[in-house]
Amino acid sequence: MLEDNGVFTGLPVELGAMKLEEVALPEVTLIAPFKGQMMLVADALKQNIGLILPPAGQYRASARAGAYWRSPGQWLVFGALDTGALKGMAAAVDMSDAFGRLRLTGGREALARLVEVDLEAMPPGQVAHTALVDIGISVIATGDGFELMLPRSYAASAVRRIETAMRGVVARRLVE
Amino acid sequence: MSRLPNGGLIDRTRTIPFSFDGQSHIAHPGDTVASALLADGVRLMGRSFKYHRPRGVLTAGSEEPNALIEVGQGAHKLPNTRATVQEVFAGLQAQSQNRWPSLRFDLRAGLDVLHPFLGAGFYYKTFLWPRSFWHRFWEPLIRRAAGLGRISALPDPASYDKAWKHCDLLVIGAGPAGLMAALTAGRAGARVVLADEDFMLGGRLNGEALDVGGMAGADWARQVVDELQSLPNVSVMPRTTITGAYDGGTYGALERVADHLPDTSPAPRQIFWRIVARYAILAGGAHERPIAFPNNDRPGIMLASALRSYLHRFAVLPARRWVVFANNGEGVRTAHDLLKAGAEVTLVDTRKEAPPETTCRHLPGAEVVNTRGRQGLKAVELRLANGDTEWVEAGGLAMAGGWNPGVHISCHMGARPVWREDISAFVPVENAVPGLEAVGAANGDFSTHAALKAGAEVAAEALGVKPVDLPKAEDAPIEITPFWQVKAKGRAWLDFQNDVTVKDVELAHRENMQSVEHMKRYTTLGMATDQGKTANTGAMAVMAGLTGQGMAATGTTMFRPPFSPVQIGALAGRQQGANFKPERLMPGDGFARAHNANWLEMGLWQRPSLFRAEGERTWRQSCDREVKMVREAVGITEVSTLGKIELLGQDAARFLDRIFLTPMKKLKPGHIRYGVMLRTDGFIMDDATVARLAEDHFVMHPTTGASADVLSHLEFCAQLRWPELDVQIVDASEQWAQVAVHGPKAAEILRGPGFMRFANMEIAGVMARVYGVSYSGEPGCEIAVPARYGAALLGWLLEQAKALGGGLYGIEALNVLRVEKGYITHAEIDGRVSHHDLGLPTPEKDFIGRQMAARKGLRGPELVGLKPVGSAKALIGGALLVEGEFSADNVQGHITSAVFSPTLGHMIALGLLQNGRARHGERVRMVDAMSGISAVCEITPPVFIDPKGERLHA
Repeated sequence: MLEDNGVFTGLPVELGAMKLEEVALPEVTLIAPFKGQMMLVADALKQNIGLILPPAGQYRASARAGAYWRSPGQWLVFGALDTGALKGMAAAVDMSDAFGRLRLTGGREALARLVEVDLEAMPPGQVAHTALVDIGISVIATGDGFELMLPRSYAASAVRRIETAMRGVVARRLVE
Repeated sequence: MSRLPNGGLIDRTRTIPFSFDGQSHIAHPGDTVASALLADGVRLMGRSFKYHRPRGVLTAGSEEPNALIEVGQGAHKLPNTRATVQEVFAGLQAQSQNRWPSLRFDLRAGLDVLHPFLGAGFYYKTFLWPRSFWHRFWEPLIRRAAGLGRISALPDPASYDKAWKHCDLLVIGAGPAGLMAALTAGRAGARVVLADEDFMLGGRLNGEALDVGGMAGADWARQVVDELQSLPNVSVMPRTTITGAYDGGTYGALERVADHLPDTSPAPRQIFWRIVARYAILAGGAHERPIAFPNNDRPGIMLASALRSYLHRFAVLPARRWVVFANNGEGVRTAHDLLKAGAEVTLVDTRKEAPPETTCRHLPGAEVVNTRGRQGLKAVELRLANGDTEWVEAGGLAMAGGWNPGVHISCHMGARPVWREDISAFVPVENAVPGLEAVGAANGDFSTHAALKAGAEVAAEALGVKPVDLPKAEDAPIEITPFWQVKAKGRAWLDFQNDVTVKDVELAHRENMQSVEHMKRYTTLGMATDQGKTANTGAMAVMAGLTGQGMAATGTTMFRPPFSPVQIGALAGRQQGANFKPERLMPGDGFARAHNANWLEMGLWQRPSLFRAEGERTWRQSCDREVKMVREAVGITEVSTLGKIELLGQDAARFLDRIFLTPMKKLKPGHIRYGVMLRTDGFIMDDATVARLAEDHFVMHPTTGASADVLSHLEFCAQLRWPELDVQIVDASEQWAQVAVHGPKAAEILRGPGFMRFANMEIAGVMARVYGVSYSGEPGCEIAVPARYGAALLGWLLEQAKALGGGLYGIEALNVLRVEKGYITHAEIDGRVSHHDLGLPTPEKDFIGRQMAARKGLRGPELVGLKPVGSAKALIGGALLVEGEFSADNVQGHITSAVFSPTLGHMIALGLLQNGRARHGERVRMVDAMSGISAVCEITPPVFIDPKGERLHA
């Protein structure tokens, strides 16, 4: 059996009250309903994982799964999923290895060095599709911090950018 | 000593040592370099740009044109720092600029004597003969003499941050108007950002002896700032200049975090902010104007408001005897403040009708016509209302020429300000920047009461809240009678920074450079670090007088960000050097690093170029070995950077058939086909392999470099061209690690599904997708596993490969292998190549680009192979192909890829050549016009080994 080589190295990073850590990803599936199949897909998912697919900009979770809208007609679903139940209704593509997921707590000021959306105004459960300077990411507000979904190949650069921003915030505070 | 015994907003209990031009001085917390130097009796602070005339400080703020200094040592050195802005810190070392050998004795002051020959635009009219002298002599000389300030040319050791901020209200400027606006919005709970370029907030309140709300204005300001800083919803940002207004309510801002601290501070030196505001209030105040009169540029001559700032904020009286020269009521205020500080004052008021003033010598209807004192003002010549002239001894002259509202930010989106005759000033145009409104002096309302009122009311209206109560303050009208220049003999300065005088503007007018934009470029007035803040209006008035058009018709030049200079480092932030762009790493990145890979950047990707073995010193040694290894045993290379686009749905086949020139509809499940896609203009966009996994499931592998563009293209087609097709497109590029295993012994490691076949297979306990494709021309396959297993897969394969005499190889070797086999990359399909050029047939079916590809003009140079003949052994990528003598008209094609083939023992190349397919066996010359290298080549078919593909079909 081949070994699982993780996504990130060098985590967690803790600086004062700021913490950047990895979030282990469950199964991740990209669901894209075919023409006219949206309602059937929604029903099947409700039965399968107890989740109604959310509108754009929202992260929704049930006991077994979570999901957010990713692009027109496409959702990312987190959690074990019987894709057989969707056969013929939707494209169901395994994307469990395509992403890295980070959690940043106490670090909104650092994240605002890198992300242009209004982080302070994001209520818990809101999702923003934006960029970490020049890396495309999705930001999910969790209430006590933010989770970031980013493409796997950018993992090391993303952590470097965020850690640099965290250190910059600490260094800035020294001047007060 | 010019420091007054009492008063000022400085901390007299502490002292700070610093040096200027090697001389030691003492300052207090709250001093700028300018105020501390003035306090120590130093009036000479710089030399003017062109004529190297001795100069002192003109202002007390960021609009300073004269007192530009260098601060810091070595790599930290920063030129063109305004002494009026630079806070003093312990150990600060400042130097004057633009003089040699010293400030007191500058040899280039000789240029002042030559001034009749150095007027505006002189360089357009001289240096014309002899022609050769320009390049060899004049240009280098002018280049050395020109410029303002010198950089260290060493890498900048400071760090900079960039950041975003969001708010309901951005208040630009923390004078009385801005403070009231911030207070109104802050107390109402709105998210407020209050930014001021000064380190001490309060604006003019800190520079005047005016009361607000029954207490000193400076005290009132401090109270308000304290309250604002205590509110969690208010962000108070001193030392922060709003640099520009941009679309969508976004403002640029430069926060000077550590410019007032020693170089050893670990903080980022500056932060460049993008502030997104629902509303913004421009409360940045106004800049006072000088008056143009002969020799109005001597050290000791300054703006009246600056003098009052030095008196009240810094407790400095720069001289004992003063002339105050005013065209408005502020001359009186200045005179009173000077008298209170113990100075002698002569008040020269250009207004004949000015109300009489008894506290000092008052001369209504008089003018200043000359001054004396080269290294520092000594005396002033006056012309009285009756025409008599007299010289008056004075060490200081304060000019009160009226005020220019700071309109700049409001004009950054292309608007021009509007002239108001009643206040002799340009004011902002409403709605010039959506969401931005100007208040107070920035809007032409110069009294303290007007500023307080407007700040509160505009903030209240914007946010729908109550304005805070107005404290009592003075409400004096401006009372200005326009007066721009004294008519007398001698040069009268308009732009102190660029050394532009009234004579230069008159010259520009004579030369027909009469529009203000032409005048600016011809005279250089309004350029450089101060962007004409104290110069523009005076010059426009002179030009308006000459053209007879008046100020309103003359207008202003265009205002553009930044409002004041911004260091490039701040705009770069952390995105410098190795961090300029992010890196994309393959799943096997760590594995390759552990195996001695050399690296190549391909776009953002880091890819192994080769794997150095023991004893190898050149890249060719490694590359040649790896090529042989693949051709004779087996090679392993990671190709995870390839695009992997999944297409699903009942119309996926139909969709692909339209996208590709190559027929795809009838591709059988379990089969793979190589195809090309055209752009709508008929040229080739990219090539790709397409694998059909099932009836309604395809995986496409476009090239690494083009996969983002291809994905965009597919999305555009699916969403906009053919929305009726039932197809879903998913970019799964990051999901899969992909490794190529090729060579005559590859089958001993893995028996794949066969050439151009696909299969799902279990490999080492993991479900893998196995593609029977080859980019090297050797048998084998590409194995795709979920990315988490990529590194482990490489290890598993390598172990078995080593046992067979094989190993890892990088893209250098891969490139050689594919050229040997005649496989193309974007070196061949560079965007100008059609499928005809490649010799591909045109199918019957429809496809994107079909119409345009049918144009006769699209048949261009054809793909051929090339090998050197004769003694010349080298082929050079990019070299031109010619017959006979090389000339631009004679070029028939070029070499697209050239490599040394260890398999064949000589260089080989692919190229594009006119009529190439008919010329196999003929000769052509390759010429590299840059190096002069040329060689004779033989034209061959574009494939060098195994032309029939027998190895692959074995």
